[in-house]
Amino acid sequence: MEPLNFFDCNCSFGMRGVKYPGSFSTLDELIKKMDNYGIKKALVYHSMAREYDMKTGNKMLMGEIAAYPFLYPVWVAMHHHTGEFPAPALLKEQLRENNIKAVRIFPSVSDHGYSISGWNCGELFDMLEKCKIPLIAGLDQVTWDELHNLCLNHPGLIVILSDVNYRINRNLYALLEKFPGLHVETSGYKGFDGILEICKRFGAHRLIFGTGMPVLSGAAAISLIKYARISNKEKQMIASGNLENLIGGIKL
Amino acid sequence: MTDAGKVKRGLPLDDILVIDCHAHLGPWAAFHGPKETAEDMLVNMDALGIDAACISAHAAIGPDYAYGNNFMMETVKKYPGRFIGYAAINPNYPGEIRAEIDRCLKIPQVKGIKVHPGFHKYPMDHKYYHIVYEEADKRRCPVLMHTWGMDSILAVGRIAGMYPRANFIMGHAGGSDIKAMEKAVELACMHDNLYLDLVLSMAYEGNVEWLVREAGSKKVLFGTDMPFYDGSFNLGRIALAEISDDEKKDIFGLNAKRLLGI
Repeated sequence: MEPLNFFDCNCSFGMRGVKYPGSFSTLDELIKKMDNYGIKKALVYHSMAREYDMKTGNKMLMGEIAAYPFLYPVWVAMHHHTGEFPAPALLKEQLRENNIKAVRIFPSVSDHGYSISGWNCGELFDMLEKCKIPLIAGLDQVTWDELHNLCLNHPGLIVILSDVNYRINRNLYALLEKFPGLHVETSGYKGFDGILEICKRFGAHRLIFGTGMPVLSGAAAISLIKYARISNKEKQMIASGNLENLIGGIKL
Repeated sequence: MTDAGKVKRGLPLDDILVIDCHAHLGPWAAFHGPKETAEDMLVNMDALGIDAACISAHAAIGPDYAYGNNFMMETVKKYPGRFIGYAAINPNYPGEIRAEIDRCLKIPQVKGIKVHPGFHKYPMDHKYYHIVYEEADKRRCPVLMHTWGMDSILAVGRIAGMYPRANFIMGHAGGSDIKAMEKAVELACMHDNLYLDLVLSMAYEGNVEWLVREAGSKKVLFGTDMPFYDGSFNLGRIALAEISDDEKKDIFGLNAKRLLGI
């Protein structure tokens, strides 16, 4: 089997309020773990942008990863109505200037606490849709109905649903049938032969490799793909090819 | 080739003993799983290099212990050596516990007992569960306990001290609550007959290394929770953990072999 060139769409670094025993927080440690697990590239966000302040964390991200061409910046974003974050036109310029490859949102009550309905975030999502910038949202952040409405109202938006679990097929399959722009990040998708079944029903192009590091195990994440009972071509698509295609289509 | 090297190539761990101490069998009401049969599991086990899996039937930890235990016993008889049985007990039917344990453990391939207080809605140290622990103590057999949260871990600590001839495996090592897991580690260090399994859907980075450092590799067991999850992700996080090869051997199979008496 050819070696898989993993490209992680779901990792972060930086200080966190809660750090489990055995885990890590620094960029150096993330790079060391990536090397150990054979992960060649990563879309990465800064945990300070999630847990402290979006603009501060995004700025810290750009400074810290500048020396590492295999790390691609993901900005944590939200709508502009309070003035905490730029309006979509200005944000678009900033995304272009900083070569941002994806935008991530944390709208849940326990994180940034806002609705992603059209009346609040419609303009932000319109811009991302037009520019083909992938939007990463965790299943711990959005409800199934919110996800449905997001995909319905923005059919061209590329959505990567991250931080899923193995109990979701009864809702997930219907959305994958309806919305071709919806993709699933794999780290939490641990169901028995779950990856095989997605490939059979919807195609390997709907799955995007991610680890969830430094909270979740990178070893577990790569093993799910290594041992999946799918072709090597499908594994390569999931490991990196699909994500390369998505970020290659960004129009900024 | 090392275990880590094999995982990085997607190859089975075929030169060490691998026993899955925590697996199931059959469909589950709460969600859809694409695969669920013993034959499906064998395909996955062969691909990963899992020699044997210890199973309890979902039906038995759910509504019908006798239906589920029958299913488990048919399976362990059909695939001797590949599957090892746990008799699952439901404390909602207390008058039938001893007879059901006796019925199941008469089968040589059934080596232990499974309790799932979460589904059966009884606390781990309820008097009806003590019937199970008495039987396990008498028979010197392992009890796989679904532990989730601090209350269940504290209860297991009390139980382990009361039944020193039985071995107790804390399934999920207390669950995703890291404080419960820390307590589980502390109790595993205090009691010779208390063990941790690595069956966790939230597989935390560095978790294996931490558990081995704190509790020692003799107290940690590999499990998959098949057919809930795919066996690969728990296998990989042990094989790629920054621990010694001997410690991996303990976790993958030697500890379970000792507890099961095989």
